[in-house]
Amino acid sequence: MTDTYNQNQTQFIVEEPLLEKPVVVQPPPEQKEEIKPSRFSKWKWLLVGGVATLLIIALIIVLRLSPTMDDPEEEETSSNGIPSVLSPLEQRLEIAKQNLEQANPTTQDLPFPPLDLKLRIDDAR
Amino acid sequence: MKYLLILLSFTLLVLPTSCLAQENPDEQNSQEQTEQVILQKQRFDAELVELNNIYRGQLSEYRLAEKEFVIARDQYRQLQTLASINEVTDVASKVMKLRNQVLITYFDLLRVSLIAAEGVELSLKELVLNRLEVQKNWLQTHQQAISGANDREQLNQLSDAFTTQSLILVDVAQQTISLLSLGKLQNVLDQLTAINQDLLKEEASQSGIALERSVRETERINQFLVDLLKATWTSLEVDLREENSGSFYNNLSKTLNPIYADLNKLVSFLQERLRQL
Repeated sequence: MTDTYNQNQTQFIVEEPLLEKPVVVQPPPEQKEEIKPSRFSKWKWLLVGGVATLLIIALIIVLRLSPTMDDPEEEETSSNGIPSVLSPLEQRLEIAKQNLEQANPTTQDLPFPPLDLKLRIDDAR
Repeated sequence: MKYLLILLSFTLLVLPTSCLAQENPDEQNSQEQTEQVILQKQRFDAELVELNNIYRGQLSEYRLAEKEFVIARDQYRQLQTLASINEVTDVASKVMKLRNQVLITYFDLLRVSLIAAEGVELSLKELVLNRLEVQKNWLQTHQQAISGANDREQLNQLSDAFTTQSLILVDVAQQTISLLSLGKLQNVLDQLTAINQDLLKEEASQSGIALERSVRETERINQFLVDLLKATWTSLEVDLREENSGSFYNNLSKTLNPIYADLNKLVSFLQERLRQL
């Protein structure tokens, strides 16, 4: 019993084939089937591309032809403060009315400035 | 085949945009002209706002200087010292320069307003613009003379020269104001006449005695205003060419109020007709 038991414990570690890699048997490579692009799929992609292009063109045309959407508040009143719900003739009449208010002859925009025109150090002799 | 499709797509993409860009050239021209007119008006408006601000600032500065001058002059008259003479000479020079500066800006305001004014005949515009320029030049020369004057007597002489010139300065300003006031009314009449013409086209499909009467009344007042304004322009032109615009200016309200009242009446008539459309 004592003959078979090896007391040297380091010997076991050295002799152990720990680093030996197991041989993995690779399965034979499968032959891949060549995928040939069919003529149908190529035409399909071209068709999709063409339709997409036409859609973009249609979108551009629609965007260019449609009136630009302004601020709703700006849409209701023009630059003169005249509501745009009025017809063009009514709008023109409103502008004329505003101009008439500014043309009131009783009010002067640019009266001669209030200056002392006879200002002098000594009294005139 | 693939290249053909790409070419077709490209053509379709480019063609509509280029066609849309090339709109009617006449329409584009008129649009450009309108834009130019609007831009020019905006430039004039901006210039007038700026000049108005400068004018107000200079006027308030002048008022303070005028008060300062009155105090200095009172002290000089009471004390009669060399120090008070020095003080009043300095302050007088300052206030006289400020007064000229206010007037130079005021004449600039009148000039830009007249250039921007619609409804004023071009020959009359040019006539008064030249007069404004002459007065502005006189003020600038006078300004330089004040800067060069150091003596109390010299400043007294320059004051006298200004007082004499002020009659012409006031007269030219009144000529401009008269032109501007009448031009504003003429502009409104031109606008209303154009509206009336377009309204007649809109009413072409309608008929009836009431409408005919309305049109007749509107035409009558329109024609009356055309004649009245024509006569008023003639009267003003004669006064301007004879350099006798004082009488026109003094009666400005009296002369223009009837035109103003009739223009209001014309507006009401047009409004009534527009409502019946």
